[in-house]
Amino acid sequence: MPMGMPYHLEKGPTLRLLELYLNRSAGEMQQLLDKLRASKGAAAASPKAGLEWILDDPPTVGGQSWWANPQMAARDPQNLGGLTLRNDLITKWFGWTVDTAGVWSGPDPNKPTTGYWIGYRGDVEAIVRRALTWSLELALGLDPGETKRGRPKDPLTIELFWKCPAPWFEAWVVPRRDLRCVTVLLVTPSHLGSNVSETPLATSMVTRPPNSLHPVPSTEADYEVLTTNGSPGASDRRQAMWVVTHADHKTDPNLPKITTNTAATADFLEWGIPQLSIYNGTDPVVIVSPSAPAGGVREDGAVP
Amino acid sequence: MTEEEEAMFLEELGGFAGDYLGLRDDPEAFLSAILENGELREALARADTSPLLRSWFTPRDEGEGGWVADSQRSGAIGKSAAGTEWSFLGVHDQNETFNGIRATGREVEVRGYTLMSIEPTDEGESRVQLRRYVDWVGLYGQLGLSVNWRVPLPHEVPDLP
Repeated sequence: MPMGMPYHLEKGPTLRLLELYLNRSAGEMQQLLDKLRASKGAAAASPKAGLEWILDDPPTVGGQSWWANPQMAARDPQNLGGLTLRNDLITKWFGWTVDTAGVWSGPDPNKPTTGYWIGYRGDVEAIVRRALTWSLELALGLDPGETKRGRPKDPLTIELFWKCPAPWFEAWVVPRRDLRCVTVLLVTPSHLGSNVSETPLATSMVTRPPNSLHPVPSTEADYEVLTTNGSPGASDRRQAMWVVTHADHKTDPNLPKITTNTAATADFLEWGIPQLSIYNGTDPVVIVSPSAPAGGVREDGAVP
Repeated sequence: MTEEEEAMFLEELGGFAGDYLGLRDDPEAFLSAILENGELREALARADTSPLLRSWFTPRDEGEGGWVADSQRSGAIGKSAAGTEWSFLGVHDQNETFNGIRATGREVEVRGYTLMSIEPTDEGESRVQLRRYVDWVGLYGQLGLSVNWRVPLPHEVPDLP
C-alpha cells in the first residue's frame, strides 16, 4: 500500500493487483465470493476466520498463496511483493495487527483512529469486504446471498479506484452491465504521509526520487500528457486515467488578511471567518494520465 | 468601518460610546484608558466581536447576548497592550451566514482573546488596533467540519535534513 499518493484519485500497483485478484474465471470468482461471504471480520470467533477472504486464497494456484505467487508480485519501486501489499492493506487500511508468530488481531478498541487513517475510526475491513462481496455478486449476476452457481460464463470486469480525501471511509459499487463492468470506488479519509502534488505534471523520472519525502508525479510507465493534434494513439490506449485540471495550484498571497489570519492587526469590526487555504488554479488546463507507480495505470494493465 | 457599522458599534458600546468617540483619535490616551478601565476594555472587545458572532449564531441565554468575558484572565499585557478573554455561547441555526454553510442546529461555544495595542494601520497611522485570537479549529470541530489533511506540495526534491 503506497504511503502516499500524489494525486487525488489513484489505482496504482496495489489496486491493480487487487483487480487481478478479483477478476478471474467465473468459477474462481465464485470461490472467492464464497470466502468473502463466509468471513465475519472482527465479529468472527477467531481473527483468522475473520480475515480468511484475504488470508486464505481460493485454491486456484495450488497450495501457494495467490499473493505470494511471484508472477503476481508487484514490482514497484519499493520492491514490494504481493504478500507485503496484502499485509499493508490489512494493517494500514483495516487497522489489524499481526504478531511475530503471524497471528492476526482485530483493531485495538482503545485506539481512537483506525489503521493509518487520520481523524477516522471505523470498520474498514467490513466496508471493503461487503463492497467486494457485492461487486463479485454483481459481476456473477447474483443477488445478495444467492447461491445459484455457474452463471455467467463471462463475468463482468471489476475495476477499482481510490479517491482521497473524504471525512470518512466508504465504498461505491457502480454496476454498468451495458459496459460489462462493475466500478468500485473506495473513498477514504486522508492518511499518514498523504501529501498531494500541486501539479499533475511530472518533473521526476521516478515516483519516489532520492531525498524526496513524499511520492511525486513521475514519467514512469505509462505517463502521458495529452496535446491537441500531438498525441496520436492516445484514444487507442486500453487503459488510462485522464485527469483534467490546471497545470499548477498555489495559495493566493494577495487575499484579504482576514481570510487567513484574524490575529493580524485590524481596526474595530474588521475581522471575519478564516477560510484556511484558498487555492488558485494557475497555468493552463492540462490533461494527464499519471504513471502507474504514481497511482495511474499501465496501458496494458500490467503491474506495475 | 462604514457608517452603518459604526452606528452598530456605538450602539453595542452603550454607555461607553462617548469614551470611544472622545479617545479614538488619540491613541496614547485611548490605550491608557483601556489599560486603566477594565469595563471599557471589555465593552470594546464585546462591541468588536458580538455583532459578527450574532450574525452567524443565535445567542443562548447566558451572559449579555451570549457573550461573556472573564475578567480574571484579562488586563494589561506587557507595557503597551491589554487583552480580554471572552466566549460566546450560541446555536448555529442560521442558514448560510457562516461561510455559506446550512444551519446545523448545533450548540457552539466560540472562545477568543482580543488584544488591543497601538500599531500602525495599513495607511501608516498609529492607532489602537486589535488582534483576535479565536479558537477557530475548535469552532469548526463543533460544527462538524473536518480538516483536509492532504497538504498540496510542490514537487521539487528537498535537501536532506
